[in-house]
Amino acid sequence: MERNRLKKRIIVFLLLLLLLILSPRVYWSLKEPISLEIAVIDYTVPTKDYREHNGLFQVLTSKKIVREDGELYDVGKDYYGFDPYDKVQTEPFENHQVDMIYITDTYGVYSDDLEEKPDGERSELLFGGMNLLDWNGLMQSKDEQTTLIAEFNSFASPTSEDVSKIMQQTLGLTWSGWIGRYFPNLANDEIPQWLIDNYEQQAQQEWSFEGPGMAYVHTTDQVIILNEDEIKGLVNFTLTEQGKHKFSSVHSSEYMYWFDIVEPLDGTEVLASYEVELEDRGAEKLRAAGIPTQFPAVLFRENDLTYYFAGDYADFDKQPIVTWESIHHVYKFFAKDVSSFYWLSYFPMMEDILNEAINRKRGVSHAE
Amino acid sequence: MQNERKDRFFLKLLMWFTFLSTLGVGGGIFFLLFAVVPIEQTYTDRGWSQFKIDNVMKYFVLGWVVFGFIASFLYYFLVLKKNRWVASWLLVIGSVFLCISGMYYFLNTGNGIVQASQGEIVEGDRFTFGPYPEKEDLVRLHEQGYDGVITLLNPTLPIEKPLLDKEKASVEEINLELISIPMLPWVGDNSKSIQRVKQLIQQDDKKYYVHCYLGRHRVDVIKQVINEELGEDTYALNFMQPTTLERGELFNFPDQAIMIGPFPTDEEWFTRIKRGGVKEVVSLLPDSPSNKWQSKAKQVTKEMGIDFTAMPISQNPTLEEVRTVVNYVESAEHKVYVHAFQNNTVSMMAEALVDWDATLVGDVSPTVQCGSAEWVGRKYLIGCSPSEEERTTLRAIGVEQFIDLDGMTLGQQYEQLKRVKQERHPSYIITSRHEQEQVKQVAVGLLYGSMTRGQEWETLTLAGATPIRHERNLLLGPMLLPEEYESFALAKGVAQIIVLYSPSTTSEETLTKAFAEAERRGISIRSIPLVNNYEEDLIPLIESENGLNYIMTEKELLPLVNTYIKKF
Repeated sequence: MERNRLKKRIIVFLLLLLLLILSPRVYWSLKEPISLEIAVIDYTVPTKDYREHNGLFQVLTSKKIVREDGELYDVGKDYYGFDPYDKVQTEPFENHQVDMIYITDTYGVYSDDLEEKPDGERSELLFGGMNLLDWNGLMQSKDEQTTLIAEFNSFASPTSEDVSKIMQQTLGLTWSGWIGRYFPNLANDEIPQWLIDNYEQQAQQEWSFEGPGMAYVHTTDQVIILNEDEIKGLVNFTLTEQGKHKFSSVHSSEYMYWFDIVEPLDGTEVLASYEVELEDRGAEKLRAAGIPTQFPAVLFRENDLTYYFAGDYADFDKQPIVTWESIHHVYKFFAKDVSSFYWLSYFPMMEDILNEAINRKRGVSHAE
Repeated sequence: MQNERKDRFFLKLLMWFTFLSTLGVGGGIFFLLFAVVPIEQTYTDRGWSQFKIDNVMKYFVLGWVVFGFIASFLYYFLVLKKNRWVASWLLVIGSVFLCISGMYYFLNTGNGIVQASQGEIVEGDRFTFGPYPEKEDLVRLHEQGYDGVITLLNPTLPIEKPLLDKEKASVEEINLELISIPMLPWVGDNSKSIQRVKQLIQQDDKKYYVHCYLGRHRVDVIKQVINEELGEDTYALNFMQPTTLERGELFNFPDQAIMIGPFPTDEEWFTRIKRGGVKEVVSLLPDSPSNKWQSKAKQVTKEMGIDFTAMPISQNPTLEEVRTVVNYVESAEHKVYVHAFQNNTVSMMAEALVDWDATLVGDVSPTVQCGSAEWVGRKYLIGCSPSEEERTTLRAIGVEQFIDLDGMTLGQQYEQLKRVKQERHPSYIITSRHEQEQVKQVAVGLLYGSMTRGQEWETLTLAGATPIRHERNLLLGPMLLPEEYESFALAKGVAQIIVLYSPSTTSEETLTKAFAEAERRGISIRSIPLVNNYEEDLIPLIESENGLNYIMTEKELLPLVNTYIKKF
């Protein structure tokens, strides 16, 4: 009898424990989905990982943001760009009212990308670059309630200069022509071949760098490499005072991927910035090239509701489980390397921006 | 004893392995046909992306593998190990039977079970898509004129290899070409196969039947690739009929499917005539074997598969002669191109008859009391005021009304000429000698754009930029300054202003101003945003107006817009 009672208690306890463990999943399943019409532009989808916009879709799924038909956003389908299955362009964007436009990447797909082992050489462009017709179509769909977000690479090559200028004007910034990146090891496969070729041609010497370092590249193909003796650490992402006011749960973090160096125009706020800590020699190299060590990371224009992320923020190649409520808080503690920026900074920032868009939409609905 | 135990152990092991493998294969086949395929179809119908479907299907496949192992372990621990021999043998024999029947149904694709899961046959001009063809299907394909079969079956899959071998043997017998482009469903990268298909599309124009096993997933991927490569719909849409050929002007009447123009050059026969969708050419040239141009026209049209009709007509034709030609082409149910050698009296009379059902007749400009009147096509005569006797003569050559523009302002002249154009009556336009040139320019602009290949626009500067001439009746230039609506648009007889604007850079104010200026002067104006598929609005608008079309856009965008226009 006692044993039976004990058995029952153990079973009940285990069931409760299971329920507790499963409760975030149950909560997520039961919570009301939020309808938000989002147009995602990603021209750089050579492979089936959809990494250039995957990071955004993880946030959308986590917040249970759905399309107008009630379905969750599908990373393999709900974007405009290139289809890696059929190797063709997806249906082009057609003018329609949207709540948010997010341009994750327009760099495009090159013939070499479709090889089994792309060697990082620049090859023939198959599809890519924002053109005026596409941009106009997007702008026609943007009204005063629509949030426009763009991130690197939206207006660099192969987008033409004319269209790039128009995009920069709309986003309230000017681009210096410089892009950069931290590399944990300047001797490994991650270094793109075109970067090595440009350096060797410019410096007239072989690429022999090792260890961590930074690479800066200009549109004119000028290359500056800072080796481990010239840098002090990684690229730090930090909110400004205005940013802290706007984003309550975004943390500072180290950013380890491509960024571009832009300057805000009048009326554009800088909500976050990068800081690169350098040794004297490194700082001198950048000074000589006119490259700042502190520059904007997140820019915002309140009147136009536009955001610009000067980095590849939605680029995320993992498929974490996000259908458990608040699980991203857990991931924060275990995130390291490239993922730390994603969980500490990008994910909460996008949550706040999406909340803003949702509240705006609800405010409009109530007003109607 | 020990040997017996050992033997039993090996027997049990063999039975377990047989059960595991035959359940896996046989059960797997039925699981594929009755579970996986319908489930995948459900997801496809729900609009899931292939990426999402692949990710989910992996779990089904994994689930089946796990199920197989669990079932086999249960078989071992609950049946075999407990020496329940009857049940053991029944289960293993049942599993083997399941496997054999699964293989039988799989390899005989004509049976109902497989057919229920197959995709439909979709026929196209060059490519037809469907499921695996049996021998009788291949024979039928050969009889229907197919040049070959593209098989997407993968020889690395044990269940597809026998089907592929069978197919190879069949096509050899029937003498059909077999092109093997292996693909894998759900898993794996099919990039190389897709590239091969693209190469095949470009290298010849043979007719193929494309299949995988069920005629669903892999075939659907290739279908999309082929449709994208052929791109026929896009090609048909993005073509704007030119209005200037090497030897003269081309007049296009899209509603009546008639074009009138000069003798095309070799290149123009293909790029303007064939590409313009012409099905019949009517030649007005003398029809004799010694006429090399006529012979050439016959030869070229024959090569291009276009019908040819000779309707030779004299250089100074009567109204009846020209009307006979026009009646013939108007009665055709397809697109017709009517040509002389260059633009001449005949072609201009034909143009007027097709457009207005009326024409002025004659080759030489009639002389009135104060000098020669000037033709504008065969729709207007412009000159000084004729006497009563001269009016009678003019009526005899087709003049239906006399319009007096003498003493009117430019704006009034434009308004009157626009009205006359809309009324479609061949007219004599009265003007003073010193204004005759001006009036003629407005009239030509409204009716034809230019009859001198745009010479009148060569020195034109608008808003500080040089407009770009594309055709007889198409100019691209910057947004007009207010005074240029008068000095250019009215003076040159702009029939239609099209504002091709960039929504991301053009302000509402700019558009509103342009419309106000144009409408104040009675000039037709339309706006088209420069977005994807803008040509769907632009091309019909241009082709519907034979008079001067002025496309205006922001000065900074002129080079970009010019690039876009040139594509058509």
